[in-house]
Amino acid sequence: MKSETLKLTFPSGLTFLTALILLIALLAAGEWLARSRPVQENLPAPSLGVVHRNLEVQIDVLEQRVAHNEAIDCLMLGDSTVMTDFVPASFESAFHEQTGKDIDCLNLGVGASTVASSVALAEVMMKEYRPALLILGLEALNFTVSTEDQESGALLKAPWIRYKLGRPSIEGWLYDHSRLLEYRPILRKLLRFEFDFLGVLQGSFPDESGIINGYFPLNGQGPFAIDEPPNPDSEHPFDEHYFAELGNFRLLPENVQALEELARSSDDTTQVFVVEMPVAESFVYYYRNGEQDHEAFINTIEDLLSAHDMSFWPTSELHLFTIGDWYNRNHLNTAGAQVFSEWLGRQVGQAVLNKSSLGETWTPIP
Amino acid sequence: MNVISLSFLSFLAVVLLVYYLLPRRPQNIWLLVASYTFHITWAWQFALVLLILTIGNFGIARIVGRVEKGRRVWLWAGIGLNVAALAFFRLAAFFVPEAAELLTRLGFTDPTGLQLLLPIGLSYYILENISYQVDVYRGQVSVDGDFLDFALYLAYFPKLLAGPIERARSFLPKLAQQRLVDNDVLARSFTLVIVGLVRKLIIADTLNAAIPWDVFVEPSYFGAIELFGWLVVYAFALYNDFVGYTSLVRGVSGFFGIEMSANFKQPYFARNFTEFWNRWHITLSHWLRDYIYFPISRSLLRRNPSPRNVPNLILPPITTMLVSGLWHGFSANMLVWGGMHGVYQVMERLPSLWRPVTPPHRWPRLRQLLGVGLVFLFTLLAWVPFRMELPVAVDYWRGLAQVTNFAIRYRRIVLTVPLLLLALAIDWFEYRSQDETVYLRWPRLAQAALLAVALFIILIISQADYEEPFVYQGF
Repeated sequence: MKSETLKLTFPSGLTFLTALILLIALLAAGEWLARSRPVQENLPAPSLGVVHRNLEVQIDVLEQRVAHNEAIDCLMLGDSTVMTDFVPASFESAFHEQTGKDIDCLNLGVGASTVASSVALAEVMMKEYRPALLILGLEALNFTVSTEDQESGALLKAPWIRYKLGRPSIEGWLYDHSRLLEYRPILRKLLRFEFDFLGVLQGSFPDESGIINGYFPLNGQGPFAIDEPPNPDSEHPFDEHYFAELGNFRLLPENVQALEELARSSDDTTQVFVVEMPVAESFVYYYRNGEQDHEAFINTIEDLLSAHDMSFWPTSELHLFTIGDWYNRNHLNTAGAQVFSEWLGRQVGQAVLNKSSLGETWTPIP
Repeated sequence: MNVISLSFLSFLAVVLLVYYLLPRRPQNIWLLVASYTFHITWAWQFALVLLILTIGNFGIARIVGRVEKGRRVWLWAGIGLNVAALAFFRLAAFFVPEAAELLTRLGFTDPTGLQLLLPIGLSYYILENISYQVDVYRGQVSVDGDFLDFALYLAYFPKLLAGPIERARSFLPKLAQQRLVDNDVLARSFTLVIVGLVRKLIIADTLNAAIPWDVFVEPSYFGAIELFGWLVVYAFALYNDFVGYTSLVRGVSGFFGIEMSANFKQPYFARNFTEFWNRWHITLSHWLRDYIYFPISRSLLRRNPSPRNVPNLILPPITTMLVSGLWHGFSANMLVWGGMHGVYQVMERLPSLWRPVTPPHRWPRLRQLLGVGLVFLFTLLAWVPFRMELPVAVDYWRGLAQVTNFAIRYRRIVLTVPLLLLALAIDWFEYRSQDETVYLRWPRLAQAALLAVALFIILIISQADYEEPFVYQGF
């Protein structure tokens, strides 16, 4: 069909074509520059297009280890409780005391994760980096929130994660293959003055991940009376969120299925452990049915994992912590995090010594 | 749907593809459908408001154009309908939150049904409606036109968000004629789009990002030099945001073969305030000139035709600029902003009481340069109440007066200089050539290199989920 409006005569678009060729050349030059050592050494960790900066920073650590042909020993995944409670150094030291072996661990906790999003990330990590150990930290909230939730589902919607999970997209492919694209958010922030530009020129990028010594430390105690039941009328966002989610406690099928999938996919290359992330005694008051709901949560996981011969370590009955160890009812402060990580290191160490819990192919760094 | 987004790009591609395959008459229907679809992407209620006002204005204009008696009454009814609609939605923005709070206190737990938003583009198409009514009354526009063309005139999506404010007498004929998009039109439109993106994404957004959050909140913490510097940055950010938007949508409209009016002609090169208002937001300035300034002036001159008619020197500019302030926002600071520009215009006309006026282009070169500097300086001072609430604006002016305070809190102000120079360079090229697509006269390789660099920076700097609104979208 001939257009009465559009009347182009040839040659047309030569300028545009020339510009396109020049643009491709510029992109290629940019890609080459982004892959150069000085850029990689001086710019902060590249972005993978996920909203969790701490995860991008930790994945960059993994990438650097892969680049130096170093083995990936152990990763711990979960939600914000993993971010704050898992101190890699304390874990590694307790593990060493128990086994006499050195191990290198990384905290991959992602705020507001559900079981489904943690498992998705675990799948990507197992496929990409083949860690010897993978520890999944779980709390009841991870089962009650759907991945449809904007914040919790953000990780699963990231094109790079989707691409890695076998859902191809141009953006996902580009994030996986283009270093320039990965540095684009950094450059964008530079050009938009989101960093102190002059400070950056002097060589100091601000740390946006909040990670210190490999985890996200919480100091002291938050504005919560840990030894008392939470107030249902509290307007604190934490209290409001927990009451809303646990007041109507249910284990969403998408999250239960995700955990089952992880249990099924556990193989000899990566040994998977699941641990209950600690909560204070007063945490049970967030549930509508208190202890009863909490037990239902523990029992479901135990039943599900034991069917696949997987270890699960509940923590609620252990009484590991004092009131001073808590930041709020489900996040430990730095003191509590150290206690928990040492305990976890001994647990995993014991499992290593028992051998039965570790795959044959795993060789920790001597 | 923001006009800088992948979704708009896809929408535009589909609309254009179908548009090019249609003959003229169905093209207008297709554009109308597309325009209402674009409207609905913001909120279907906005489309409904537009539809009601379209039907109301078309109906009233037909009566104004056809009846012998009571035409004036019907004209005022038409104007009243539009002013009432604008006032209703503008005032609602102020009073609805209070009413909702009162209802909440009275025990109504969910008064969200009360929430009203200013329909997108309302301030702009209201002015188009008023000019249509007046032009019909004056016999400058025929009322025998087609309803669909009139509906498209109001709803045409490239100008929906923030103008340009088109006149029915020049726009409706464009809709009635065959359109042609040839190589030249396409190149010109594409250039306007790219220049618009550069101005918005590279210059305006970056300058806006550089402005510290507290400078327009707590100006007393800043030294005079820094306050002046950030005011200059704001002036260029605002200008490039709006001129970027206008350039972009004019380019988009060019793809349809429909030329829209220019809204800016390097306003910061203006040598006096009359010239400034012929260069800044031209379609609004000319609307105010034709429908506020001239009627008042004519009325005053009828009573006293003397060239030394002092009320005629004062009242038309002051009233016009106060109306302009109210159009930008029902607030004291906007009134002050409008009032300041009114006073500026009165001051520069005072000499006309005792000597003939010389147009700026006949001034000696040094006076022209001085004029540019003074107009820019006084425009800057007026941007202060345009940007912030009155008490803060007073603090800002006070801070500017402390000229010996050289303290600098945010060193990044230095880094905005290259962007200000880039903005000035673009204006300078266009000013010298009197052509906003002057780049098309450059050698092919230079054009291509410029385009490639611009696209490269835009790719780096832009986001897929772009959410920065245009400043004038808020009016």
